[in-house]
Amino acid sequence: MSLFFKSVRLLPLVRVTQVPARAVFAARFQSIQPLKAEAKVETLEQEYDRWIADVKAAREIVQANPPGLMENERLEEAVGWKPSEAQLEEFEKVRELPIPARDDPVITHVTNMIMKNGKKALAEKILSRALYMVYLKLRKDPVEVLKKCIEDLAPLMVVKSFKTGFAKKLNVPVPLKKRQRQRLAISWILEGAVKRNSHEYAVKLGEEIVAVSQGRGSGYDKRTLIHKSSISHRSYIKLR
Amino acid sequence: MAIHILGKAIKGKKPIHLGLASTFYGIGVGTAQKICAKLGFYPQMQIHQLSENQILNITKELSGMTIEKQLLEETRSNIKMKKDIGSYAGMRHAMGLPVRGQKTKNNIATARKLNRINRKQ
Amino acid sequence: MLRAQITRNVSLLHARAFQTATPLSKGAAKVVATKKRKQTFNPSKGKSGEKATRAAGSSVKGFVHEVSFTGYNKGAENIAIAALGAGALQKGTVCAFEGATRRDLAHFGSFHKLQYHELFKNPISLVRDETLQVDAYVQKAVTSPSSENVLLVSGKGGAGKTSLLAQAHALALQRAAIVLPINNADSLVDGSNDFLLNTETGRYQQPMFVKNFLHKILCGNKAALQALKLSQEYVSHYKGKQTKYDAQTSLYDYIKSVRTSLDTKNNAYFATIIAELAKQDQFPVFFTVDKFSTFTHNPYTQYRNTENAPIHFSDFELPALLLDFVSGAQSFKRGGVILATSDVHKRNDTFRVMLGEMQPRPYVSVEEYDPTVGQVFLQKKVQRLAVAPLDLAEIRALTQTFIAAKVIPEKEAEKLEDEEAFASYVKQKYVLSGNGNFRELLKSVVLFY
Repeated sequence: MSLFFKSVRLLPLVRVTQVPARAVFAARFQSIQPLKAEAKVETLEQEYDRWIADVKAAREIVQANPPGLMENERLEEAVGWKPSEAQLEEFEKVRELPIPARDDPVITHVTNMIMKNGKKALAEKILSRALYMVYLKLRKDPVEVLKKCIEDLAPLMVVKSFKTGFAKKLNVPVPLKKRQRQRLAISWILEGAVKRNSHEYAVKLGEEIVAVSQGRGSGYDKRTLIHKSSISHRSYIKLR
Repeated sequence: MAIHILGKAIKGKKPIHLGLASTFYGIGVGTAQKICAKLGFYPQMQIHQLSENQILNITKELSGMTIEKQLLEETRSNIKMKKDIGSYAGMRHAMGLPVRGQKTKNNIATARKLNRINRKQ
Repeated sequence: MLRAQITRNVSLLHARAFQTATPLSKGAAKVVATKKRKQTFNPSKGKSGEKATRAAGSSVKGFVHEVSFTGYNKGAENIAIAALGAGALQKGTVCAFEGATRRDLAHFGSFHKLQYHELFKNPISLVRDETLQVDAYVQKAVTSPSSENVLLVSGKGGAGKTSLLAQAHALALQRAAIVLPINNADSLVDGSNDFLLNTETGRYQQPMFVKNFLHKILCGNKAALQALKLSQEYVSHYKGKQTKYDAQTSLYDYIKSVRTSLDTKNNAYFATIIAELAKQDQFPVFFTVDKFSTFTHNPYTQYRNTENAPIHFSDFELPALLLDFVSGAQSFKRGGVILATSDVHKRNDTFRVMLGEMQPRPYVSVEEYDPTVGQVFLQKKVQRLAVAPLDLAEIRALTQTFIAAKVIPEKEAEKLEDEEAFASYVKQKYVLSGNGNFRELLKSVVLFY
């Protein structure tokens, strides 16, 4: 589409070669001057004719050179680059491969839970710094450490209360899905981090992750509590 | 660890010019910087670094200026004088309304708070 | 009856409170009796000078300090890297600062925060084209006066100017030179140190800064300074006490003794020390300044004189001395001056004149062009060294070191054993590092999650 307009924009130049330049300018000059009604109509008609001719010429040009073709030619002209055979070969080889995921789903989950007010870049920075601290303290792959922490800390069940319609509520243990378990574990890690001493959240978080990976950390108590209450309410589970 | 200057406590961790500016009515950052420059304190020097002698020097500087109560008195007397001569500004002060021709349809909270004969601050 | 019960309860409460109060008051008396602790602002000591009540192993530092200054390098993987200058310098090899060199450079403050040195046992550095040039420069400077050897290192932020200075320090120490390192010229100007007018010279002295500076010099150049003897007798005065130093006193002892009396009025101790260093021919001396462009950034300092007007940096003793050594007005008999710019400072006319990129324009403001610095670099022939971005081979060498030190997770490193995969990984790093920026490369390895 844009190409079409470009070609139209080029057209007056083409016209100038066909019609003596002075005549064109004279006509335009006249149109500004106050004229009699008949003369005005005459110049207007001339103007319309000229535009119609222009559009026709543009259509011819575009039909002769389809836009896609023209663009390709222009690109090659402008860049002066063609892919080499080796590159084409590599392209063919890579073409069918699946595109690797940009982010790890667990890492994304943690980042999103750290995030406040939609400031994702800041959350990412905090997590990177925390994980770097984990690496320095343990000298292990910090992502693996974090994943293991979450896996260890995550509760299996949670006790939910259901209304029975009478005056009594039923507290029934319910199994959690993977993401729900993950969410609870992450929130406990983040809560534990807040209580630490550093003034920078990244340092607190790094320390908390290390603590959890070593079996310390306040999250474990919360998990045990939940499990205990689930066990005590196990009689309410209805098995079909 | 606060330090007392003219009976007012300033936090030790504050840079001197900011400490002075935030403590005394009538001293802004600019004036405080002038005092610091005159007494040869370096820009990032903090309140707790001041020696007895330097505190005395600051006190001496401050006592030569119209600040705090003195300044407040002066302002009050100016307002009172305006009222006594029956000027428009004096009247507006007495009524607790804006003095300098501001509109009064909304937003005159500051004027209500401050503009009075016995001005608080 | 109810009221009676309440009153009885209340009286019981009082009685209980009274009972518990007695032993407490004894404890309080004990606390008063112990020596009163000095109040401090150190956060590790907790508020109001009492012992900190914090979770075990929980740090109070921020990220930068926690990472850079907590000794995490001790847990790093042992890797076999040759020490810098153990053999001939070879381009593209990764070397380490070890042993005495490392200790001295640490005293100089050549290793900075956020250079991620904690990744390795010893700080590593890459031998690059620029390193070889600096090596050649030091080699030449060792035998010629310092006024002929002024080197200006420039380059983009994160290109490796400061790392190059550290290498220069090491190379100079290898040739038994004395190094005078100012590793952050900003702190001369930003008003973080005290200042004192010397009425005899008309220049301001900065006792606190010079004291630290001399401490660095003492620790890093101990052997050389101990071997140097004073050329004449000196007398120092401090708090009514007079100390004499005869010609047999070593410069080390003189500096050590004089270092604490820099805040006396109209003293010339620092000038004396520099004059002594300039007089001798025994050791070459290298003056190095990092972030030198602070003087072009804003020639007027944060300091103010008694009239509350900002003071020009050349009115300070140490910066003025520095300019003298750059211009050649003063010179060490052997040695050189190495200056490095910083990317945080603005590229005004003074900066570009300093780099030799333009001639000064007339009628521009002082913020744009300051003739004090400009004239020095217009008249002086200065060697200029622009630090280039890393090339692919250099990134390859660094990546191999990262893999060896297990900085790159082993899971990922296993995939890179294939030569083709490794080559493509190196290319990836080249792009991620912004076409070969040292700092960005490190970040892409360390903070990529």
